[in-house]
Amino acid sequence: MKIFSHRFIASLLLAAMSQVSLAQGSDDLTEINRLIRAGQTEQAASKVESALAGKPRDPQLRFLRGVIQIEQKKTNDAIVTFQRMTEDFPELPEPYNNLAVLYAGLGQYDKSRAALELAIRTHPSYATAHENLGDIYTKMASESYSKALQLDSANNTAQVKLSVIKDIGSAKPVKPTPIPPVATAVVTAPVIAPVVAVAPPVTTTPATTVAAVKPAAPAAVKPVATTDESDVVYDAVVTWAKAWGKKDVPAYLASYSKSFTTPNGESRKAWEQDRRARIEGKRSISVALEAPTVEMNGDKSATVKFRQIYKADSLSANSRKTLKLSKADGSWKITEETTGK
Amino acid sequence: MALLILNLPVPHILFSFNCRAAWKLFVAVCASAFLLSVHSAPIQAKKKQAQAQSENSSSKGKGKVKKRKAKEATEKTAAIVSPAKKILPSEVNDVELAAVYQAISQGKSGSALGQIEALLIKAPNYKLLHLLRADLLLILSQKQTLKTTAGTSFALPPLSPDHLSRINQLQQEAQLRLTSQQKSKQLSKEPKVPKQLIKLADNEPFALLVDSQSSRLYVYQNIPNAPPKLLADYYATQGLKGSAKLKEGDQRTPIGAYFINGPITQKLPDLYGSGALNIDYPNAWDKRLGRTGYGIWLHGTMSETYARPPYASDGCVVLANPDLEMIFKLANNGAMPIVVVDKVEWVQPEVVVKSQKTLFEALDQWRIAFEKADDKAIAKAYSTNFKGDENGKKNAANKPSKIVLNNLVTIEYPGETDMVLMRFEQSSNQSAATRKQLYWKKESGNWKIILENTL
Repeated sequence: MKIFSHRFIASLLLAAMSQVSLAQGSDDLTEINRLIRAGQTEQAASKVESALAGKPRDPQLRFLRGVIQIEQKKTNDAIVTFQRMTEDFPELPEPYNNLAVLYAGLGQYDKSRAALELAIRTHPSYATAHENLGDIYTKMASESYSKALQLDSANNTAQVKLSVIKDIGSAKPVKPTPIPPVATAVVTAPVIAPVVAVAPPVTTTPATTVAAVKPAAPAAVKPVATTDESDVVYDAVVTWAKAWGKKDVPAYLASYSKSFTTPNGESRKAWEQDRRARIEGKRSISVALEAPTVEMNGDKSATVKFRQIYKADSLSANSRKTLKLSKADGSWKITEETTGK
Repeated sequence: MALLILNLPVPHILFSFNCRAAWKLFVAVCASAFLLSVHSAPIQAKKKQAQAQSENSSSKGKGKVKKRKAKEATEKTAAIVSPAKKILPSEVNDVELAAVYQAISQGKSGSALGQIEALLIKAPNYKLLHLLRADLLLILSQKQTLKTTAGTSFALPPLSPDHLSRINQLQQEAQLRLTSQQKSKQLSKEPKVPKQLIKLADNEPFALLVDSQSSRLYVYQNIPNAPPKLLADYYATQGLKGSAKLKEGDQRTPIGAYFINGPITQKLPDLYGSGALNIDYPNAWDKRLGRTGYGIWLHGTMSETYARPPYASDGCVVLANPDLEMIFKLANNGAMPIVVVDKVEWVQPEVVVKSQKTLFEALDQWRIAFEKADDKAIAKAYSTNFKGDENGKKNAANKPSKIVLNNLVTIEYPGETDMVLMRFEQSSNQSAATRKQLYWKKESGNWKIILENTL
């Protein structure tokens, strides 16, 4: 289910981005989109509302409003936003798609399916809608299999029934005999897990944030943290940076938690493939960390911020990076990776 | 037909077990569709032959007994419930189910899905429809994915043995329903009748016939002086171990000629669905053979499902609730025959008329022997293997009397060779009316009574 929703969000953001790319050089849209990606949802929301005050019908702004409402978990508001968009712009497939995503999130697969079918009707080649519809069908199929394969509980009541019959007998006038209540058969319905897990997203994977470029210095290790555990956290980050610099992809990938949130919501597998291609595609890489800070959020969670000096072949990048790590089975793994300027 | 199926992008999905089930279902459809096309030609030929035969034989086959019966029938017609009594189809009848399968086999997955969903509104717990829906959705999902990428595959989790056997049951149910649906389609075009229903009682307008091999219950209407008319046929569940019940607890449905002797009036658990009718197993013949067990009912289905698997009960015959409710409405006389057969033999009506002739002659001789108190003739009517009411036999033969037999029902006894059950009401100027059963067996070409009981 988790992967399911992630994949949906991917299509959401992609849809948002395609809108942005269509925008005619609108600064508002660029800025709002940047705010959304930076996770500054509140600012993005107020920016959208003020922009909409001037252009209340603008489809891009209204679309972004819906995207922000999703980010803010205002599902019902988002449904209204996209629903109205489908009425005003029935030719746009994206609002249908996002409406479908929202309905799917609520478990309303029939509505979700209907919206996706409309999206496809408007744009028969709209890949995201096809993919999402595929997912919805699979989810519905899984539900139907569960319903179909419930076991016949009568087999468990056979004994009870036999004794009932003995009471009644085949005597000509049927003498009513109190019948013991049939024990409710506890037959658990098969729970077939959603089947979507394996599917990598098809749409173009946007460049991952890490690949930004600037000159680099050799790795400089300067732990700032005071407690022992934060040292351990920092060591984990260093190990990650070293593995990256050595192009040791297995070790690099092993630094990421199983629950790592892929930057664009793609599947873990797709993300790994992308990372591997990018790392192995370079002749040499160096990664250095400057001004690191470690912030412990309890025992199991930490945030490490630093300036990342990255150099690969002729490319170099100097960027702010934030890694969130969490501890599982005694070791710290990266659960989230964000890059800012 | 089979070629059309290739339109579906099934092979890729075949790796998942569920879809293998779906595939088998498609194959089943194809197979039965294929069978129909193979058989339809000879059937046409037979039909013509049958028409010719019935024209020839219409002047024959009306013996003395037949004439008497016909006269009785006209006298009793008033007792018969109006033949206009309407039989409703099942909640979701198998014609609709067959239409779904046809849409699937033509590659119209989308429209098949729509049909299924419409049917599920009427019968939300119809498991077979859910399985079909699931398989179709998976195929549709696959189609969507094929539009976007080639590398995606489904990995459905492994199913437990219980689930696998459930899938098998549902496939079995599908095959039985589809095959029977084709059979009844065929029967509606031909004048064939079941060989077992030789004569229905004039006061009993309906009879039930259960075909164990095809898990089907047929409802026949008694038409005076004409072959019985097929009104409806329903999918039916039988004993977990099948049919031919021998002893208590063997979870088999009895094969034989029985009567519904009334509804179970007490409050029943959910397992029995919308109600239950009692079947008079074991009858005199079963008892003579030492068969045991009791409480064989015709009943409905628990609320959690629309239909049970074909083999699931402890020996009862189980129908979907709407179907059972229909039978309930018909079973108002307390003597509706329910004949459970391994496999129904469908014959031209003339075949039945022919067996009526010799049997009614034998019955006439038996009746006249008693009227005349002719000991020799009486002895001749009975088999040397006769068992039963010896006293009644002797007492009845004391002095001459006028004997009248009413509401005769005659069933070729299922599971036995050359055996017939007759049940009637016997009255005379010397004794009150009694309901009697005679079991006849053909011995060296002559019908002899081997068992007799008074109800």
